[in-house]
Amino acid sequence: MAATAHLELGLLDAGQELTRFISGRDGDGAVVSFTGLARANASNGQEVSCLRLDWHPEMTPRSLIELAEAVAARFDVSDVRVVHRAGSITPGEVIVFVAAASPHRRQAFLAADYLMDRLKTEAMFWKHESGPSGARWVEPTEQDRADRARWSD
Amino acid sequence: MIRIDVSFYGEISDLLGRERAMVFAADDITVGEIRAELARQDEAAAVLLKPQIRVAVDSRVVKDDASVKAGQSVVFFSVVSGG
Repeated sequence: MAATAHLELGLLDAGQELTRFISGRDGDGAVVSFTGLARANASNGQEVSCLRLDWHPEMTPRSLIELAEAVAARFDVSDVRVVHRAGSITPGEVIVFVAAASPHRRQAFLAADYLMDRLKTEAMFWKHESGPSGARWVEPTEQDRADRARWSD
Repeated sequence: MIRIDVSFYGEISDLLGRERAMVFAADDITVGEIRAELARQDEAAAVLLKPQIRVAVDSRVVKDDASVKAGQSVVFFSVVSGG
C-alpha cells in the first residue's frame, strides 16, 4: 500500500489529479475519488466571498500525510492520495481532492469516506471566511464532528 | 540567556501577529512559563491562557510542562478547523 499527500498553494486541477491517479493500475479494480469545492455560503448561511486556509509549513503537510497513511493502514487499499489547497480560495474552486485505489470497490469507498471525515476535523488548517457581512474564524461543525464519530477510531 | 522564536496560528494571530522573538535569562524554560510571560507582557496575550490554545515545540504538539531550549521554535495555535 502507498499513501501520498500534497499541500497545494496554487489552483488544484481535480481532473488532472484523477487521471494521474488512475493511470497504470492494472492490479486494482476500483478507484474512488472525492473533490471538495469551496462554497459561496458558510454553514451559518452567510455569503462567503473569500476563504483563507492558514497553514503551518511543517505541521500542516505532516498532518495530511499522517491521515493518508492511517487510511492506507486501516483499509484494504493499494494507494491513497490527498491533495489539499492552502491560502486564499475563491468560492467554486477545488479545495481538496482525495482518491483511494483497491482491488475491489467497497474498501475504496470506505477509505475515501473515512479520509474525508478525518480531514474535515483533524487536518491542521485554520479556516477564515470573509464576506459582505464580516469575517470569522471557523471550527469544525457539529455535522463534521458527528461524521467523524461514526468511525470507531 | 536564550532566544526563542514564538509564532501564532489561527484566530490568535489576529490578536498577536504571526511571530515574535523572546529572550529569557534562564538556560531553558517550559512552555507554560512562556505562556505566562507572554500574558504578562501583553494584555492581548491573555488569550494564550485559555486551555483550548495548544502549543507545539519544533512542530510537535506538547503539554505545558515541556521544556524549551535555545533555538527551538514554539507555535501556539487556536482550535484547528480541519480542511
